[in-house]
Amino acid sequence: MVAEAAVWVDVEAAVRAWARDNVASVNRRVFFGANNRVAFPQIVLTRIGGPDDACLIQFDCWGATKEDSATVAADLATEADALARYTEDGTVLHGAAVEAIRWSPDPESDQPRHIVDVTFTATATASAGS
Amino acid sequence: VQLRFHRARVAEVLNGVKVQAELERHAAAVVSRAQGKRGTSRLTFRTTSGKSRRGAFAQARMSGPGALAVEFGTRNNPPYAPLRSSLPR
Repeated sequence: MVAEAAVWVDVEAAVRAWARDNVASVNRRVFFGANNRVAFPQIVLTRIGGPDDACLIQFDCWGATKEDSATVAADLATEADALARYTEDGTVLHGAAVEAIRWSPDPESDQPRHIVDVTFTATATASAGS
Repeated sequence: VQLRFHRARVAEVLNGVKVQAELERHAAAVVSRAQGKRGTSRLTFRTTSGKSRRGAFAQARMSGPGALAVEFGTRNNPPYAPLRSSLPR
């Protein structure tokens, strides 16, 4: 028996698309890096580690106020908990587990931030793997 | 529900020597994998363990200048996350 090679995918890109579609409180302002040209609140996401099927993503929920960032963090965590199946450009997000939500304002500027850690389970779509 | 009836026994098991040793082994494994930014970091990694009111625990800890900013990032720098990226999956 020969094991098939796994098809790895761009989990961050799929998660960004999912967050833009589902976290209404940021009005699609979800980025890979801090964006100072658009309004708050906004989300910045980073892949921390893990394989595609247990991929830890850090979401920085930046707000104009603490209440602002807390609202976004709660919305994001609720939507992640409800994620059942989301398909984006050859990637399937099968589910997500919210690991933690922590209050962590920017140490340099004191900009309000809540950090949400979420582990996603992602695979390639069947057609992408064939 | 059954666990409620055996709360004392469950607490005894969770605080047992084997559990403590296993937790310490996991924390040590995380620390062994964790690395600061090469050449620039003065971060140190170590483990602590003991028993809290909630039971036995072991932690992988990072300390040093800007440790939180390194782990979680800032508005201008993405998270480097040496501890979380070292967690077993």
